[in-house]
Amino acid sequence: MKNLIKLSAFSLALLPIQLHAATGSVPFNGSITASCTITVSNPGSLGVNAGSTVLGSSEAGGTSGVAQVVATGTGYSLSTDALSAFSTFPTTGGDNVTFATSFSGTGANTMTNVSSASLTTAGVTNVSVDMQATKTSGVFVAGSYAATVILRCE
Amino acid sequence: MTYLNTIKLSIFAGALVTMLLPSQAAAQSMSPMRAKVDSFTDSFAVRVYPANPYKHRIRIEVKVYDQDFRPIRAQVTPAQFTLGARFARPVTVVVPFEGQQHRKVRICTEAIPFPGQTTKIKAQICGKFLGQRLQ
Repeated sequence: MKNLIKLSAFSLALLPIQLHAATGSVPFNGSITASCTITVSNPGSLGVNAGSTVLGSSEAGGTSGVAQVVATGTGYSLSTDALSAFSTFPTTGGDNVTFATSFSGTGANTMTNVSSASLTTAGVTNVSVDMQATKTSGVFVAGSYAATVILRCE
Repeated sequence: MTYLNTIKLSIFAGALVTMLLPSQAAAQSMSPMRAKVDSFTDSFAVRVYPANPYKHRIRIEVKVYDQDFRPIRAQVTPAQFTLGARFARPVTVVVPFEGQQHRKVRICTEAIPFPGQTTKIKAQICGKFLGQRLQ
């Protein structure tokens, strides 16, 4: 009888100890809403041509503004608003001026020197924004000039 | 029905509709960007979620325009606010039908440059929304 008890105890000791352990799955769910994000990484700057009649980001000393557009859906359009005036300018600096804005993009969507484009592919599009102000009469006088270009995703 | 009750009903209707929309993910500039809202009242409500994708706080303004980008009368709550880095918050927009059966509006989120900044590009995210008045 004693041997039987010892044998039983030994057999029990060999059994796996995790008899009461259980496994379970932890679900993770998430959703991404179709949307558009614009992140402006660099504002542009204006340069002037030799004749002081054109002030623009493409002129010597000027730089394009840089923005990153992330579209998580399709069917959006990207555009720049037409400029009508400088936000900062010296006296007479804003007279007889015409404005032009454009942008180019690489990455998920490609476009070159346009003012409006469709985002047909979801993803990241790196956009460079340019503006140009041209004097139709006279020259740009000395002083500080600034303008704000609206880059719109809708 | 008083104007206040109309607003309350519109907000409730809008909230009901937006509850059915998927919640916003982080770093979205504004969501949703498309929606159709049915309303039994003289106005309809939309709840949008402007977000700040930057690593610094920004000032945000929410504006409402018609299809031709003319500003229209609407109740935006709140219309201007500061948003922390990588954060989003709800904004409720109540748009009156003004006698029309349908109304297409653009609700736009744009960043307000802090004083002293020389921002040359202003990002604007606009959603297109259709309000439909039910009889």
